[in-house]
Amino acid sequence: MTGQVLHGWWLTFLLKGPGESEGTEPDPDPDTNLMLRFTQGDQQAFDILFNKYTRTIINYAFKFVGDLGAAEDLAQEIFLKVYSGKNTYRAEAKFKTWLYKIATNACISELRKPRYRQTLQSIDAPVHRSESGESARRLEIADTEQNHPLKQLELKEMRKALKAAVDGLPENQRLAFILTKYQTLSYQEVAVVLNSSEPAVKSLIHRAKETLIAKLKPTSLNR
Amino acid sequence: MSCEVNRENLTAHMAGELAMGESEALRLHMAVCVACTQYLAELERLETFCGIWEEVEPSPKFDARFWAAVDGAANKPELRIMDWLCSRLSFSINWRMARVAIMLSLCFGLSLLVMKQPVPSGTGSSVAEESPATFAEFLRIQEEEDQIKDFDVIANLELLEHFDEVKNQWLRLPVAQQGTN
Ligand SMILES: [Zn+2]
Repeated sequence: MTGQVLHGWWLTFLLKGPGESEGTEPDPDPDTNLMLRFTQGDQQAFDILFNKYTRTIINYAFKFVGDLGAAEDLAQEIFLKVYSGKNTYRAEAKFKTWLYKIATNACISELRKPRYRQTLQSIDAPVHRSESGESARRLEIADTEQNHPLKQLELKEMRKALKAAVDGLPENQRLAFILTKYQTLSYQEVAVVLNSSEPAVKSLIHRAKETLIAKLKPTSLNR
Repeated sequence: MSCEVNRENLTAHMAGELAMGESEALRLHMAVCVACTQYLAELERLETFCGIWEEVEPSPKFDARFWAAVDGAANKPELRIMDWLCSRLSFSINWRMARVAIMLSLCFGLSLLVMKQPVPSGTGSSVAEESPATFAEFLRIQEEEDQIKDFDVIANLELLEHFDEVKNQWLRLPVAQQGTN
């Protein structure tokens, strides 16, 4: 992995050189400018970026790991990579998409650890398999709704169902869905983060939502 | 337009990502397709439902923990060396010239390697063909070859002693027979 990165860097260096954009006009994106200032030693510029994105990145990680402690550990790892990336950051990369690339890679690596795969299977089970259990839960929720206002417990249950449905999406669909829906990235930005194209992202999000509608319709969307 | 394509456009439209030219086609399809109108209602319900996913607040100690981790990482000697190297390299190097220099060095290095290869001998059993695994092996083979040459010289010393005699005999032969010997 590191070898590939180094190889890529080496080739880019030979073809373009790290100082290629030095003579060009400053990037109009303020976050990119801040990161460039940080690469030149302006520590305050990093502080601004850190304060601006801490909550966003913790919440992004939280969508995958579902636990604040684990999400903060991931966010710390992500910001450490940003901090140490001051020597390799290139102005061609918009800061936001560069940050989300780092964050996405960190989240995906984390989710590939065995403990998350086990968790995913156990959360997925009722949504995918247990048809009778599904009907029972649907009735239970419908009954609750008819007789009482929305309860905290019910909300927790619905969040669990939503997370299970999103976790069950194929990786790229899940990433595209979370990045657009919760991180408010544009299709173009998602395409950069996922090394994909805008039409591909459009299709990924459509399929993700179609699947979510089908999965959640029996439990929560008919409410 | 098929319902599938229309629904993809519908999703993009709700996210404000539909291209200008596609909006009219979407409007026309929605005016006549009941199934897509129902799908739009489901999509809207999904959008609302997705809003229940809670947002979390960073714990108050997150900043302090992060900066402690930065200090810990900065004290690693290998990172300090890298930092120092990068700071050294970041002064005004002319990168275009640096690249040309690297390319030239690579070419020079390669040509040196090519020149160091032994010239193949006429017997077809050159050292290069035998591909010695190490330089020591290469030297050993070279030495053996030299010994074989010495042995050939010793074995032919007897012939050399009689060289004049053979030459004289050969010179005495008629010219026509010299070519056949
Ligand atoms: Zn239709």
